[in-house]
Amino acid sequence: MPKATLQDVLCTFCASGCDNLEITYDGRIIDSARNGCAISVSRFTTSDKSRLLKPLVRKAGKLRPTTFARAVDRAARILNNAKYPLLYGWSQTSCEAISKGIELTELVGGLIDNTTTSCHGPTILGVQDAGEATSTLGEIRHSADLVIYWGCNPVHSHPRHTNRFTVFSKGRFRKTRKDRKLIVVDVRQTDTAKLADRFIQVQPNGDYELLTALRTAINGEQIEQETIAGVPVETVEEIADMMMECEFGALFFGLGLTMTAGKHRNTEAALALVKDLNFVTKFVIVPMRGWFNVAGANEVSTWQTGYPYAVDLSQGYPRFNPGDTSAIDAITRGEVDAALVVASDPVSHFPREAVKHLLKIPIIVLEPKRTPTSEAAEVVIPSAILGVEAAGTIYRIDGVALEAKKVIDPPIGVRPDVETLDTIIRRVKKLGARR
Amino acid sequence: MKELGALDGENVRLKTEFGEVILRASVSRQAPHKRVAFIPYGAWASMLFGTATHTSGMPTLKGVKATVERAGEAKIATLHEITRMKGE
Amino acid sequence: MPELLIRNGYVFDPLNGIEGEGMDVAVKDGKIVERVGRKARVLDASGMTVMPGGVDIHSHIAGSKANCARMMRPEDHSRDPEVKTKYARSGVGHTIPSVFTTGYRYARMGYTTVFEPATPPLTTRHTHEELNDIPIIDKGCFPLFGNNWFVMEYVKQGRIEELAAYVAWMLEATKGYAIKIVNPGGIEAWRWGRNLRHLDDTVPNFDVTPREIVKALCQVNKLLDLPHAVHIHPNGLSEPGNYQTTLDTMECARDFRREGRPAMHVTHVQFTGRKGWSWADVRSGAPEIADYVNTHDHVTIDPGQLIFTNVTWMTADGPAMFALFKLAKTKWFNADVESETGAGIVSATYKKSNYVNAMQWGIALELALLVKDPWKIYLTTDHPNGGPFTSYPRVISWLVSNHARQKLIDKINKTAKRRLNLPGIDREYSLYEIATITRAATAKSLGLECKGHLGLGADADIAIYDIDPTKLDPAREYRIVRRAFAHAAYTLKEGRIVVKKGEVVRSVRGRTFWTKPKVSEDIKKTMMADLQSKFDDYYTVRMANYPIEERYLTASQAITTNAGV
Repeated sequence: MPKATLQDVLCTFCASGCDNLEITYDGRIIDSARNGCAISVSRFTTSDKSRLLKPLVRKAGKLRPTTFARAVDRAARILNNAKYPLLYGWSQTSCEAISKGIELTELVGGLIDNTTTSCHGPTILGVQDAGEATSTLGEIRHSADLVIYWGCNPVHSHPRHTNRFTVFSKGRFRKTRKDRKLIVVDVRQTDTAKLADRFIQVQPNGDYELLTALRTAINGEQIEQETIAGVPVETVEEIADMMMECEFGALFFGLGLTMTAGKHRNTEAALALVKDLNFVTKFVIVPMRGWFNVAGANEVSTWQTGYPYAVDLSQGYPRFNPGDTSAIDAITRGEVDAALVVASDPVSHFPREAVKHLLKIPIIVLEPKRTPTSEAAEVVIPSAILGVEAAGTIYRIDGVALEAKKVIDPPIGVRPDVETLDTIIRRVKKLGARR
Repeated sequence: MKELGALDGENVRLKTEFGEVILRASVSRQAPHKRVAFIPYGAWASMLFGTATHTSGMPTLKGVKATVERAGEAKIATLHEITRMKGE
Repeated sequence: MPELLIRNGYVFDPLNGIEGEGMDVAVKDGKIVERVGRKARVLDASGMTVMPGGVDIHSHIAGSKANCARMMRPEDHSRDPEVKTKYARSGVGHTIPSVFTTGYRYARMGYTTVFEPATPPLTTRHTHEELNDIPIIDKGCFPLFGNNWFVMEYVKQGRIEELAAYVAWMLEATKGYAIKIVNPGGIEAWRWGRNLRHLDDTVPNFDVTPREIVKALCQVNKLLDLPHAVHIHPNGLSEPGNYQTTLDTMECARDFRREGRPAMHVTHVQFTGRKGWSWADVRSGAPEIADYVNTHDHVTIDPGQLIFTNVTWMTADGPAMFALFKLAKTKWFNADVESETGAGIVSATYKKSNYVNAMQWGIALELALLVKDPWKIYLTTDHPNGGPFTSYPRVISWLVSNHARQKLIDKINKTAKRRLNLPGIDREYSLYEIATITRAATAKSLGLECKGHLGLGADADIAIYDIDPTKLDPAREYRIVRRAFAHAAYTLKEGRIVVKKGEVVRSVRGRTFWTKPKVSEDIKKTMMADLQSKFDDYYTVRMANYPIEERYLTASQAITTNAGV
């Protein structure tokens, strides 16, 4: 088969939304992926490794190959019979699939949550309290003369971030590295910190204090302590000055804020800090979303149910109450009695106690590759990889929607999630949904 | 690592109030960060986290208090074993 | 589709001059027809009012700012959930309803077409995803052009033909319907934390003025022969004294009128129709603005009626929102969009006792009552900025009944009551005029020939209200009017009954309308070369990935025009 090349392909790994990749392929083999980072190369060229190729159902304790129809039937019955099924994951699949997921959850009267719940959920909770002053990434490229990375390490997590949007990028009003200053705040000197003009080493769990100290300085008040979370007060005042004196500042933050003690109070402090700065100069804040469509999961969930994650539909209408309707809490309380997991691996990532409960209930998994979650499942339906073998819409870090392309065909019998979910919905309806 | 007397590449046991896991120690390239250890996010790290979300939905996955000790001959669990341990 | 006969209703069809005449309406294959056979299903509309389905020209229902508002305001939803029914998906209200709820609530009021009036082109794919999901209603969206880099550069260079080609390309790329302008040049100034107040201020780094931007886009609108006028939210939103800017903006469009069609539509004038020098001194600019509209044919307006309730302000006008946030001290959201525009969201509550709010409420009603020709003024609340769209029946009751208005005037801030002209205005709208401002005039303004009327060939989008116009005195019985418009007896979408007695009984998919102006190949080629040479510098997405394909719309309805370039 002759080699073909596809231009302007979107990479579906992190949420940077790099859409200038050039992919060369030969039938169903991808030869090369150019213009992206090293992760994207692996994403495309090793997409065929460790694949789940056949639907599986558990029989006598072992996962055995079966037909798609049987797997769907078993999945539909599990969901129908459950009192409080959880439909979880969603961050590595298309918006179209997520839409089906919400429809299915409403049909079976369950709980739908996405990986935001253990990632940037606190960011959203912070926004719900404090609001958010943000922009699309191009605005930062054009205008930002001060960039701050706080509690995130883009050199590793979003390798092209600094090239495309910040210190190594070329914008209309900032053309070279010299036109911008970089501050990095972290508990250790990461590879991103090594690029910084100023690196601020903050004590673990000390971000809330440090953010509040900065707010104090920016609001013209006196900071009374000598050191704040390990940072000398003079440094805090210097950083505050840098922030106030810039023309356009951009603060990017990551899991260093969301996952440490304080969680949504940390993010609220960061959001409020940027809000305060807008009284003095122009400043924006952007959360570093991880998975390529976690933002999309929030968007679709919000426009269809009103809420971005942790949505309970068991009462026939959407309810949102993190701590109550969030996946880990609901699982740990023993309320969830079945789970459908799409594009996620909670058996690996959820805290141990939650996994203990998860392993006791029937799990249906839609997934391209073998994972501990798929190994623990009752039903496994293989997925086509979005952006490689299936097309669909995704939202990048800053909420810009892009279309992931289909480059090659999936392995025979492997379907895009949107199709699988649609089939499950029809089967659930046919069996007579509980609600 | 100096304080612990552990060698680069040696197995160590990490313990939190929620669980413990054996991992391989390696010298950090992001030093200094006294009394702070890093583990890649994944199936082994999650042995150490609790489920309390303090009404936020978010468990605490960073900044967790832990102890480290040399683990001698104890082996690192395989992915399969780690999953099994979680089920117990 | 089966045939249907709506019998014995009192029909109000202003586009065809039918004013409450008792007559039958025949429907076949989703269209209004002359007659149907004896086997046709019969819907008895005796003693009821029959109108074309409502057409809303300006309501922020879909897209990234609407969704950011939803995400930011869970407190808005939790008190107004919608339980799933046999026919309807679940959802939430209140000021920013979820998409399914949006479609159902419009249909319950007898509305069948709604336009999202402001979408940043870069994020319009998102807008269409939401519009696709809104059930029942037909829809469209207006992409924003007033702060776009390519637009400002072409205006600076005086290259109107290339600008026209660019706008044509953008409308097709975004599947948009009309040219929308918000705070021209001001949102680009907001990049640096600034704003523009007057038409002759200069946009930083671009060396053009709002006046130049507006005039150029009005000229383009005429050249491309677009179905709607240029839809504009002027500079100076909310500022005391901004009525003059509004008048100046209206003057910009004078030379660009087309045969029988206005060149400009100024929206939510209540926010930009203020006299005075300070907040304590805000006065009504409605008489001056109404006077202008009454004596000129090139411009139409809508008031953006205020309702005394909790609202969400959402607009592309980022700097205006920051200014209002500083007053309201509630939650604030801002999102600038690279090379194009921005967005701002603030939550707020309007109170009768608050002087400025009371003045706003009064100004909006004064505009509606002082503009004489109901074909020039349309019913809106600039949802959700003035109030939720579910308030339309309440607004109708104020327009048809002076008594209803006076009752509320007695409750508002006393100083406002003294300073408004409203207490002295006793005009009352007729049902025919209501039909005009809620469907006939809006459809005509949008250039939608198949909507807003019940003539032969029109889409069979029909609303039947439980009002007997021969027996009811709307001025006295305004509560009945309000209830009737809030819960349509029947709503039909392309001949299918979707609402019965105010409840959704069927969900259907609506179409998305967009325009496709045809420009000459030569000018298109020149423009494309400009675009290609700069696109990667201006944007962080590739030009090949920017346009939205037609297949993206669940049901696409393109309107082609022949451009004069």
